[in-house]
Amino acid sequence: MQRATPNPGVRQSTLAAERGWRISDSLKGFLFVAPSLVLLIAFAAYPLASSLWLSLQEVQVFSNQQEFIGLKNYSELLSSNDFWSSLWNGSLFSVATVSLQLLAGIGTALLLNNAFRGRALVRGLILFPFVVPTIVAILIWKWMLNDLYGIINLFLMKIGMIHEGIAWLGSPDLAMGSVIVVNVWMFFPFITIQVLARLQVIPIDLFEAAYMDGAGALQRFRYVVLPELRSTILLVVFIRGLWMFNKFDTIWLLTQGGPVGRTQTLPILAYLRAFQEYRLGAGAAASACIFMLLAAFGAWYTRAMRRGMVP
Amino acid sequence: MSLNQRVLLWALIVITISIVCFPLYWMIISSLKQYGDLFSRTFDVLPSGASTLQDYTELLHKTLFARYFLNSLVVAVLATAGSVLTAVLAGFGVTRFEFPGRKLIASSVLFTYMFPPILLSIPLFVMLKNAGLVNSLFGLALAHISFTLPLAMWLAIIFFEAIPIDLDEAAMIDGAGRLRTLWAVILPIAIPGVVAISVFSFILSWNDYLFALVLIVDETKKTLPVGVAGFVEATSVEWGLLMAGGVLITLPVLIGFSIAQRWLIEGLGAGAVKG
Repeated sequence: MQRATPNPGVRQSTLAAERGWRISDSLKGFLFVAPSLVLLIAFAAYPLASSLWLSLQEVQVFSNQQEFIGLKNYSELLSSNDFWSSLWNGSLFSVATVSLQLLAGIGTALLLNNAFRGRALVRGLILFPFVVPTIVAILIWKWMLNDLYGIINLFLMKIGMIHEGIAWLGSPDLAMGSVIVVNVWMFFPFITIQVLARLQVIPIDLFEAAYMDGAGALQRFRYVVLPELRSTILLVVFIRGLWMFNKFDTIWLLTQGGPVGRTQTLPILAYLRAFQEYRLGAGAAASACIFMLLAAFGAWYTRAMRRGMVP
Repeated sequence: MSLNQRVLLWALIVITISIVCFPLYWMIISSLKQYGDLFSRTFDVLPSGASTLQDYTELLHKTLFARYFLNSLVVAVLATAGSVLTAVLAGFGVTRFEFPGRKLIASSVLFTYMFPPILLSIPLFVMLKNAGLVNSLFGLALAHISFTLPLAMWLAIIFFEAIPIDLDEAAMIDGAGRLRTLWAVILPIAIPGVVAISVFSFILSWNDYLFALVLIVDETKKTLPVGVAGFVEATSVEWGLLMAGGVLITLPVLIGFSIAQRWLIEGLGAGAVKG
């Protein structure tokens, strides 16, 4: 199977054009795409627009009444401490999880790129955290991190590092760290696989040349592997960054944003506003802020990438 | 490679695999332990004490787990069927025809996929509420299409692009219409791709927590992630039951994954899988 191309369909289209297919075909082609288009407009494009519209309203969930209040939801949001602490927590969470995933991902990819017996099996095993459903991964980790019976605390007590169980998810100073560790465990295999795929197409001559020139392992990594991985890493950082900033389920299931709001990120803030305080407008405003922040980040990142400002 | 390097390599591999796989191993072990052993507070990572399937039978008989499982299955099958059916048509249309906006469709699909789920959940809740589809499995499946369809379309376009267009031309010279060409010539070749797309869509829907949390209130309509998460909020958490549940929730995904493993890795390589 072919790898993804930046513009799927383009190759065929020029062929089709060259062969001068009939104009009436274009209507037929559109008909093939129409069902998907209708669904995408109804369940993605319209909700997006509707969300922005909702963010300008005061919505009564139960009586179903709406009142236009302009930017009041936004001004209230931006003047609340909640928003700024959630923004800080979310940025910390995204930056930390993405960088650690990158480290673990590249590390394991380099490891698995070596030739050894049973490599295919090991590569399959490494995908496990990624394949296991989110809820299951979370349940296992909650069990392992349990303060009284969790295997992690029991292990640390056994080797004498601690004397009583630590509330990894319940203590304000440790919760964010624990949440980050769990998310890194869950998502780093994604990067391993991508980097591994890229490593395998690096021409072997490059290594040989570097070796002949007397480059050590570290130098080969720095001057041969890293430049080859650049585009993969840039893409992965971008996609992972977006998705970690959007992450709701793992954090919510682990800590519900607690203790005392220490793991509350913007998606959690939006959820709380919309579905616990039943203020849909305020929730929509918070989620619209996420969207705008991500759009701004995306625009900045692609520009910086093009100008070579991002290494 | 010298002996020292071999030893180091294997040590690193063993450490990595332990970190990656221990939690899953521990889930299975915990699900088989007897109640007392589970809470004995002794550090022992080997399977110790008698094994029992009690947690599994209790899970299936004393809780709504089986109901949740069925609900998840219904939603995932509906969402998968809907998105795969339309995505196959779209993949065929985008790669086989020339029409205005064609390239825009192909590139905007991934953009849709980047929408924050929380952003979509609020208006989807309002929409489905107005349509009387809150608390309905059908409504939840429709909501799932907002993230399964973009992925399915993206993959369908990639898969169909790899099938030579000469095949279409040959079929059409033989007098087949477009739909017949798709059905009789292209689809049989694209079967592995279609299977992979189905597995992806199924897993995404099976995994969803947020939309199910927002759109389903009724206890008997809940899907697995939300239903099982509810067990944790109970006053005394039955960890054995939860671990048994974890094993059962993972099984369909593992089966799907082993069917589509080759394609899954390709898809990961294409950066198309969300996590």
